[in-house]
Amino acid sequence: MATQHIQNVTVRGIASAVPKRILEVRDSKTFPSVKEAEKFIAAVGVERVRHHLGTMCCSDMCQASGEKLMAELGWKPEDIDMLIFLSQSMDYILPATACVLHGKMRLRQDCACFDIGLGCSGWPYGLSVACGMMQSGGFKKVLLLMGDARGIAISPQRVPENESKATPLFGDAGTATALEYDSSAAAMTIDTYTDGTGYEAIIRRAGGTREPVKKEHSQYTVDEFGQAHRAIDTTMDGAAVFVFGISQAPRAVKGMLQRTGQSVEDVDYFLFHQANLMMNEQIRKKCKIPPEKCPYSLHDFGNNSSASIPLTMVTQIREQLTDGASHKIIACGFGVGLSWGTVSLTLQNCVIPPLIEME
Amino acid sequence: MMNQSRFLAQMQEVLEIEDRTLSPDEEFRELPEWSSLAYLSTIAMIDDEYDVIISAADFRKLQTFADIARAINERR
Repeated sequence: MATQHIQNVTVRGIASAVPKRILEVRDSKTFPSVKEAEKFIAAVGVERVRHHLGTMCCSDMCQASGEKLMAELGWKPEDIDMLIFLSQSMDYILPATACVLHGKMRLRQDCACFDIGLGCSGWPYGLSVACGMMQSGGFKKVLLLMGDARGIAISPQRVPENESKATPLFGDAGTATALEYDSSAAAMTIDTYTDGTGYEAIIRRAGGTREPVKKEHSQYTVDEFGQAHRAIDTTMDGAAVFVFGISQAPRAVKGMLQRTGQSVEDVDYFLFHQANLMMNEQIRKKCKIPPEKCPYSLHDFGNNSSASIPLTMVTQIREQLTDGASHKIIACGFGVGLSWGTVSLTLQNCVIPPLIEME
Repeated sequence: MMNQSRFLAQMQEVLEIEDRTLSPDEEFRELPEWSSLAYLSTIAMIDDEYDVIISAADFRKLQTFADIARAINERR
């Protein structure tokens, strides 16, 4: 059992940044016909995504989100005791991107900075690590930065020669969650899970130490559905991930409800990682959650990995979350690893600036 | 036991095939309508209708519609 009952930590603010550049799925050259594109949109739910097109990294968007939050909260760089960068789109193989951000954001030297290499399960997992470390009171103000932004093209794609033709499912975003030690904080419960036997379900094989990059890794091989992949791209076994998501996410949410003595009616919002519409709807129905309690951002932003949950808060329920009332939230992230986690928390007077759009 | 003709009708709907009926011995991967999206829709339909989730590894071994029906029955 990996369950934490967190006291003394309040989520002070949440911010998200995305590139200004919008890719419309209907304009994508991935699909052979309009009918195919509409079929994709109906099933996957993604109509458009944000794409940086090489103009910025995930850490740039995280930095913008973090600095915006600090400005609104009145936090100075010298107030920050810890910065965590949770992403699989690091600036460099080494050093840790958190260290790079520490320098750029001019934080104090007695400040803990490190990366966590997780994806879609990131928001609950990042809270687990940050809040766990904060329990002793040794870290008062903490920035939890997370998101992903593609480096090279995401497989599969039908037309190998052109990277802009990658399947428009993933969007780019960088987010910040500001945490503060607070002895009057409402309790938070976090569950964290792993199934490492499924590590190949979402994988970028080449570039690490197991398979250092070779020339042949940039060559395409075609899968059973006629789609081309390279070893240097992230590839996904869609069916394996689908089965994983619809099996584990409902179980995790029901487990969290039971552990915290809540029913679906008691919770104001259920925030799920934005995987794809078919998978998210299957999970929502299995948990018997009414649609109005389950906001989606995937129509306009696609799947944003660990940024999905904060991005959904910023773009879909910002006004509700900042109305001064207290809001009970259950958030569940699930994906690459395979890794998943659930958090139950209460948000009140949380500072949520409008979506930041970057050139 | 599940009703096989009902299952075939459900598969027909998933695959959006309107001009003919499916037979149990057909190899679904050979159909032009079979795609990665159709695969996900099939998993979702089986979960909705039969409360069964077939793993990707197990599904890989199935060839015909009758195989899928058998796999569902074994898990119910």
